[in-house]
Amino acid sequence: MTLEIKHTFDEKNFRHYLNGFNMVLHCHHYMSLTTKLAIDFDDIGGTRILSESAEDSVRPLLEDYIRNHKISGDERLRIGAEFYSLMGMGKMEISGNAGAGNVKLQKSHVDSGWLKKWGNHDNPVNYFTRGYIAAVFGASFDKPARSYRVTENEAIVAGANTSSFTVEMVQV
Amino acid sequence: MTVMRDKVVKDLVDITVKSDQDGLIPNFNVLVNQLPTTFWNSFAERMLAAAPPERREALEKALVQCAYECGYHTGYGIITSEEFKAVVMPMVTEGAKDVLRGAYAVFTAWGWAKSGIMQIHEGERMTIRASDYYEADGSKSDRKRAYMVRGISAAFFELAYSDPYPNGMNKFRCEQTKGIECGDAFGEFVVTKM
Amino acid sequence: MADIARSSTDILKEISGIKGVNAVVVVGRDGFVIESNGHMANSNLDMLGAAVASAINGISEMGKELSVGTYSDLFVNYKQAMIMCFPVGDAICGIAGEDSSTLGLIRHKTQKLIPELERLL
Repeated sequence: MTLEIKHTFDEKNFRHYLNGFNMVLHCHHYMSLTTKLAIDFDDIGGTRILSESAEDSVRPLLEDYIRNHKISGDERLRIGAEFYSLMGMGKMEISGNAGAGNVKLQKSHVDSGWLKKWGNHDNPVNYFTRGYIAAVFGASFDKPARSYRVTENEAIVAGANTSSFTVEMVQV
Repeated sequence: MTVMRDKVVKDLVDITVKSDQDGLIPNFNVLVNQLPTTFWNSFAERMLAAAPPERREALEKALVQCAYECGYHTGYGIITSEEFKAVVMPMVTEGAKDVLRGAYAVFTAWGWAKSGIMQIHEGERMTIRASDYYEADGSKSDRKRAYMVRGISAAFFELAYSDPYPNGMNKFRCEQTKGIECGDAFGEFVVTKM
Repeated sequence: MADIARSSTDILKEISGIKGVNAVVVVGRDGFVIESNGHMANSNLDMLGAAVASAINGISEMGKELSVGTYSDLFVNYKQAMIMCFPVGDAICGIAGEDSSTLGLIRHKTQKLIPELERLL
């Protein structure tokens, strides 16, 4: 399935919208440094805030698409994977149900960016994608925010061929 | 003739980025991402809200640094790109000043900030004004929070007037003097030597 | 009594308030609208800024070629508007009015305001 995307440009303020959502281009330097900042400030919740910001900002866009195109069932997870690629964040394989799931990244903007900038890292750094996956599952199964715990078990940045995540539903 | 930003904006506004078969967007010598503005804004806002007062300055400095490095490397990618060469370079008659004008036109066309040069003393100082930028979205604030515009403005000025890329970093800084998020009619940013 | 410091915004408001003036813009040579006030019925201020900058760049080029120095002002009368331009440092102040009937008044009133604007910018 190919996403139906309408790109609009606001001629007054010069902003770009995809399906009515204000989007902006940035680069891997910005994402890598933002991730590093979150790690450096983890004592105040940096990495959690990064994941939650991703979850909360992506979810309305996914829900809007699901609602407007009457997407149901497994198709919803696939829509999430397609938006991930559209945003330049990588290539995602996603499966699961309302209770649990698995996600694999063949390619990852966050990991590739980090590798380009600093090389390998001992621990996974893809906090953005953890939040993104939580948003996809939340939107797909109509669960409130923070309903899913996403764990990154293997990471490209740590030398693995693919990044893999497990998803579990938690009580909110 | 100088760089006319309306022409640059018209020519560049329709260039949409497309991901490749790997879901990545390699362009301008970097990997590009295209995310909701609310992601970047909520991250900055929530981090600041979580930070104790004594750590806010360090956090703000780090937020500016993220944009600064992005601006320096991506900015270089942009001003050496085929698009820039085709659209902007034919109008460049005033050297570095015009390249900067072109860079801000691109900055505007791609939706980062409706911004441009208000005043420039070449190689010394520059004042930027922005009548719209996504970092001003959301609630009003007593803290100026256009970290991205600050970082990128310092980087652009270095690309224009500092040592050639990649050796020109950390020579200029940018302070925000006015902010739409603080109730001003526009954002204002002053780049000076460190 | 000490003068209250005025800003460029105050000056633009004052120019915009002159009888016959619809809009005023301060634009960079690249057409970037640094600041503006008022509105135009048939266009928007970004377009006014771009048009003014483009015209002044051409006029300046002509001045150079003819060796007659820099321009000091420009006045163009259209059927449905009149446009005046003044240099403010490297930038341009463009004023759009209804017609030329108030030209004298606008010139007179802006005589002091334009240098003040230049100082503030």
